[in-house]
Amino acid sequence: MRKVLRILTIVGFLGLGTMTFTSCSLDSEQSNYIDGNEPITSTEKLIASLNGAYARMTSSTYYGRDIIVFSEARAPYAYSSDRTGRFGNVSAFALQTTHSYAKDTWLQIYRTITNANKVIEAALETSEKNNYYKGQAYVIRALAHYDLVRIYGEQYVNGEGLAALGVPYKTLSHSADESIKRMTVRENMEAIYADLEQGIAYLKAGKEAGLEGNSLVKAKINYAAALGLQSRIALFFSQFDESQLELVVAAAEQAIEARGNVVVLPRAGYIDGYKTDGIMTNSLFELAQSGTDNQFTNSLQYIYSIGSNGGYGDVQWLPATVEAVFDPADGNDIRAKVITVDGVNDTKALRNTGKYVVRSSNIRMLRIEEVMLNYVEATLEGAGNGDMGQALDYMNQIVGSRVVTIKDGVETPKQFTSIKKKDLQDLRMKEMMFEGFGFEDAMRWRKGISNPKITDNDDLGESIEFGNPLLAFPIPEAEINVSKIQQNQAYK
Amino acid sequence: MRSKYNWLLSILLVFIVQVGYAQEKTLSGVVQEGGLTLPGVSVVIEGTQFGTQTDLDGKYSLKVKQGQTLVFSFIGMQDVKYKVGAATTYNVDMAADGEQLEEVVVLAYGQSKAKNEITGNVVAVKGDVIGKTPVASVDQALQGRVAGLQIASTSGSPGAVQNIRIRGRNSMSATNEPLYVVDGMPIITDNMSGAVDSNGNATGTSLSALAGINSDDIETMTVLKDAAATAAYGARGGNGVILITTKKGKRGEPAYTFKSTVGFQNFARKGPQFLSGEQKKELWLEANINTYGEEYNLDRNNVWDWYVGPDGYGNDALARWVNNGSIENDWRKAVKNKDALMTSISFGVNGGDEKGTYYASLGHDKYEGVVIGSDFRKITGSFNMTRNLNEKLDITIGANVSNIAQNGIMEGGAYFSNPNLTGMFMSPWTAIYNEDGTPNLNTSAGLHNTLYTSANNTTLNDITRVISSNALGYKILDNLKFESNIGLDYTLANFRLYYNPIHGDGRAYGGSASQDEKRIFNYVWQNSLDYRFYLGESHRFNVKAVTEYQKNKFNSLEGRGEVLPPGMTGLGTAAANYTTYSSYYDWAQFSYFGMLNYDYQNRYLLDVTFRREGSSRFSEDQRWGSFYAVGGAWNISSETFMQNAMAINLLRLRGSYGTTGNSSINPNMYMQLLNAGAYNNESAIVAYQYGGPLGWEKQEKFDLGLEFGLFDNRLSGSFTYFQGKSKDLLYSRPLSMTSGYTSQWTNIGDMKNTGIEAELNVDVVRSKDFNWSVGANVGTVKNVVTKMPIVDGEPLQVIGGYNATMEGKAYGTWYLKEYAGVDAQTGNALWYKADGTTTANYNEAERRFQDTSALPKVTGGFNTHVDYKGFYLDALFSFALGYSVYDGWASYTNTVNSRSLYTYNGTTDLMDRWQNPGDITDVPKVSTGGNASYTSPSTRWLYSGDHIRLRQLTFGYNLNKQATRFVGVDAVNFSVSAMNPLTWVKDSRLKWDPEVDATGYVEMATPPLKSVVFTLNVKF
Repeated sequence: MRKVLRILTIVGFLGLGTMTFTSCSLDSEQSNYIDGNEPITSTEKLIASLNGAYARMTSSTYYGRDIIVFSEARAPYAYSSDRTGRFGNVSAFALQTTHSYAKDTWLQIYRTITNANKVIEAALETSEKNNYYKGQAYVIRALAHYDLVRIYGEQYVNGEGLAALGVPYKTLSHSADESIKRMTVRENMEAIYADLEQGIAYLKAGKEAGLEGNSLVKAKINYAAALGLQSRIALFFSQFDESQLELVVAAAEQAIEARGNVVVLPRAGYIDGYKTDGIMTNSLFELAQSGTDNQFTNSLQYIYSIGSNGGYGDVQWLPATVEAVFDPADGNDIRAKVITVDGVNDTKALRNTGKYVVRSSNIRMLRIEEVMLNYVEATLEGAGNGDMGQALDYMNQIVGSRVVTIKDGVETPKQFTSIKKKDLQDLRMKEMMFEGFGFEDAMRWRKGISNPKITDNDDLGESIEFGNPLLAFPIPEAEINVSKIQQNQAYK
Repeated sequence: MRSKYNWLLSILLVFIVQVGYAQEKTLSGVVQEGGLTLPGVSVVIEGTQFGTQTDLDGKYSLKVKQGQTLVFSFIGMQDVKYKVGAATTYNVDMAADGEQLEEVVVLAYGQSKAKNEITGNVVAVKGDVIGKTPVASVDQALQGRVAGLQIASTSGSPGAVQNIRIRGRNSMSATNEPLYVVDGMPIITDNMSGAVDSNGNATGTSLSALAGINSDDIETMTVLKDAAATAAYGARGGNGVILITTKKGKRGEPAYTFKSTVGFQNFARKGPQFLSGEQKKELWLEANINTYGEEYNLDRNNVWDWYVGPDGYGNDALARWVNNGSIENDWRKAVKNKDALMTSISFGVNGGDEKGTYYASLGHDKYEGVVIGSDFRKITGSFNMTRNLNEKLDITIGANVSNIAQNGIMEGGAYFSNPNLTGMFMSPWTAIYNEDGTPNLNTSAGLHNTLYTSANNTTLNDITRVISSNALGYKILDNLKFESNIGLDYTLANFRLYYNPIHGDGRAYGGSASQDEKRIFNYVWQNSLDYRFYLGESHRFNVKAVTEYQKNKFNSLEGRGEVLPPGMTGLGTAAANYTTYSSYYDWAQFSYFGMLNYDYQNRYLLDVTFRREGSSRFSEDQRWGSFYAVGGAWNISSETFMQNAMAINLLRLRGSYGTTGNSSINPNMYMQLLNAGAYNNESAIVAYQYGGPLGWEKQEKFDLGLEFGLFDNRLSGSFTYFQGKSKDLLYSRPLSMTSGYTSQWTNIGDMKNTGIEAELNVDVVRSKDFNWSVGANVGTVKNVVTKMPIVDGEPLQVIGGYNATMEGKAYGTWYLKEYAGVDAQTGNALWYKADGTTTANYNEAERRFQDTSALPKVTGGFNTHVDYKGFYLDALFSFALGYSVYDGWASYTNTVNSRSLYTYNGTTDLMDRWQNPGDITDVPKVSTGGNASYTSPSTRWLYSGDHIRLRQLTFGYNLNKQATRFVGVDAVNFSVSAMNPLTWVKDSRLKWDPEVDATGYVEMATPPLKSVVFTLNVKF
């Protein structure tokens, strides 16, 4: 009997122990995440999700470095020497479908879009405030898809233009298994415009309701910035469809009108302006970086320089000398100072030491100078609503703040009396270099790309000309594995 | 003392016998030990107090009933049990504790059985073998000793993690590492090093969780391979289980052991040779002739004048090197620590009486790294006590405490401060030292002088771990026992990183420091009931019911800061840019299971295990899984018809079938998660993880084996066939990246592993003074992915840069363009196109499946042991066949352009470059820009990993009894071991060590080592 009691005691003990554990303890806890299935139910969460989209954009695989370097490493004036194994295959037009550059940026842009979509999808009461944030998300979604098109779209290939294959356009955040396909570039363009228009409308309403206050929040997309971006995107599409030129002019005009206190950077502050950690006076939109929130060794500074702060310095100036581009006979151009010899070992290479000089530099997303140059270019290309006099004024505002002729100690700002295409292209190239425009501008102006990485490759000839299938990045293999979307022609 | 006690006992027993009552018959016999009679052995009828004791001639006689069990016991000897049958005499040969008559193997949940009682597939490796293998973590000692077990090293740095695969790869995305169980407690075996990135990938020397265990504390290690053996571990047994049993005390006077080891270590293989300064100059000038020859009319004679002139490079790195006297700088040699010292000391004591035993040990190990900047030190203390509290209750208390201080290096990737990288990449034109003897900080190509950084930076792991395993046993009835085990495993991990502001990674920040504190608490509580009973005479049953709960709590706090005052290295001294990070997560597992062992006259055995287990890692509706296994064995040699087959000592068939599983993924993978972010000093939320229903990965395992022992077990061995099918694989299914996510954890896909294993041991000579034995084991495994998720009506094919996974092929089969050598006319590299012709355009070439993956198809080892009058020689060879390794760094070390020839450095293979039309070589012509695709993925950089390695060679001497008695100790042993002294590699192109980590890539980490180790062992 005692034995039985003993056994019962033990069994009871075990049973109780079992119940204690099973009833509660298989639910896990963690500290750093929240449930993603919950919809956005408050303006605060809406703002935080929107900030998430901006944070995604600052990643080194997107605006933090790569997408800017993709343009600069394929620019007429710069390339990657592949010094530390970075971006050399971009300059060499030798990307493979499995290379991380093709994959990482593709992913990061769609991540940004997913975050923007979460904001757009938020089922909140309609208010000007909520719409103002949603408007930013619409513009981010448009800009992100535009970035995808310019990198992965085949618009340059064999002159296919708007009929070429573009990219999948994502407007839903929740379904990972949605069947996707590549749209044409034209379809992409229309979707991008639609998002821009919606975004701009919301931002405009917000601005009119006083949400932007007296000073622009330039670390985020504001009404003027959205218009500026619209002019950039329309200028891109106008190279395939002249009817877009008027949109360039219209958007640029409105952006300049809404710019507030943003002015062309004066010559005296040009070099120092780029050294500031904060927002430049000529910026409409910058992505904020700081001492603790930056891309560290994956920053733009690290890829451009090798100097006292360390750096990889793969991307360097291509011409043999600075003077080959900045001819002293044309006057003293402050922008020539951006390019210098950097470091002590690599004395023959010239590098960008003027823009993105510290890793905490904000990413200059949109400067007023670019918007003006967009206006000028569209006008010059024949936009019906363009004003040639206004265009000349913009040209002179910029060149007058950059180039002077010095005679007997007296500085005279350079001015144009008329606009030639060549002058505009020259001005734009010198103004925007190392900021992520080199490749797209060269393509729009139908200029070939040539650098030592290309000429060293027997398969490529001396240059990559407009129409070459290699001008489009490969669609990443990891994407095709799953969604089976079409690969670009050069990589089939 | 011992004998006095015995006599006292005997008097007592004699008295008891006097009052005992007579019964049916008298049993008598003689008790001996090794031919000598043993007086004073107690002979007691089990379950009673009746018994007797042997007399001075070792004789006994006792009145017994048939069916009773006699227990013969003597202090310092192993108990012998005898079930009384019809016979009237029974002679006993007793053996000292530790010299077990029959090898007993430790199995899951504290079971231990003789070899012929096991139905599962297990291999036991004894502690003395492990103790004699001088390695930093005990798992390394298994290599070559267990059929079907492969070890791949992530790094040769002391204490680094080893990848162990038992019967190949069973899972696609979850871990393939086996479960480790120390004294019954499943322990966590994650990389303990703080040198990991935010995704948990190592950014420096890893640190094995097993590195804290002193190899001298190990009694046995048992490798459980099939379902019958592992099913008790249910869901976590899918990759096999490695049971580590630590030493316990043995009854008797205190016995002391002392061991001291000293050794010297070097790279096991030299690795590729890198270009000297002169060779590099020759190639670089030739590259310039090939590129600019036409333009400037260059040839060998005038190229130098052009090079240093205005049209050339001027006063560049090469010109400066020549001007300074062309002094050779061998960086690879500079970063090596030749003959790295290792020392180890351990001291142990154990003893006990019939009330209980104790074991205690202390150990201290110190390893210098063979690459500058790394070293490893551990202090271990182990304590184990068993005690019978009363006749019903017994208690076991054990603790293993260790402290590890590991100075790691940045390795396993192209970190500029990785000394392995410096040795490979740094140009021989770059001075190692300045004229004043200080390290040259003006290094080329942004690389760091790691002689300076490893001396001035800190990468320190300081880890304290306590593994305590405790049990309380309660004998409810003689054949019913309750046991409660509590295992506590607490790890405090401190990681400090400091980059100096002068040179290297800290320069950009004015110095940076970070510190990372982790606390990991893991506890396991097991309660079991064990019931043994007979039905009739011959049907023996053993039933066990267990509940087990395990919980793991992980806490981390990290800080980082920049701008440090000169000479200060701590995080607390940083002046700017502070960032912090913290994280908490937990997981829990609860299971209950039952085991039934049945045997019929020890001829037919049947084991059944059923386990139900819940894990917090899975979504709520799929949290629970059921696992079972059935194992059976037929001991043919125990059959009556075999009794006349004297040559056959053991012949048995065994087989098992069952399910196990795998749950080793990170917690919370099933959830849809949003992560915190930051933008512009505002808080942000980012979409982070795409989740969904997630449950157990299940594996169905079948195993059939034959075991035999012939001619007095002089010839013994086994053959096994196995098949493992993994279903509902925990698979990180790739998603379309347009979703914003890369993957989702799902249960999709099937995989199959089949193979055979064989072991054979032969005692060629057995005699008093001379013994010679040889042994061999081999395991094969064939891996096939049998089902992949369906996408657009077709099975998913996951094509990566180097390999691909698809139905019908082994996981991660190498999938590459095939290199066709160099065009003898042009010097360009060629590849094969789909139509079989060659092309110089890489993009036109066709990717083809190679027949191999990163995991060997065949592995094994063979060993021999010779001893003669105290001298002995042991040799162990291990081999691996049927796998390939890829040199992903060729695009840095083997380019035919400026990258290897100017910026960095190349291997001497480049000296074979094509020079003139008609040259037959594999290395294309050199030029300044070269063709980057020459080093793009192709079979040019894929090497067969097949190799045989003399893993360990030991020569030793055991001092004879007279000498030890003269010195006043029990035993003395001297030995010298050579680890990895010889390696034979099939592919002559492969210069790197063929043992790379399980991913199959030659990594920029310290390769495996060879060492010479001297050991002194004393017992007293």
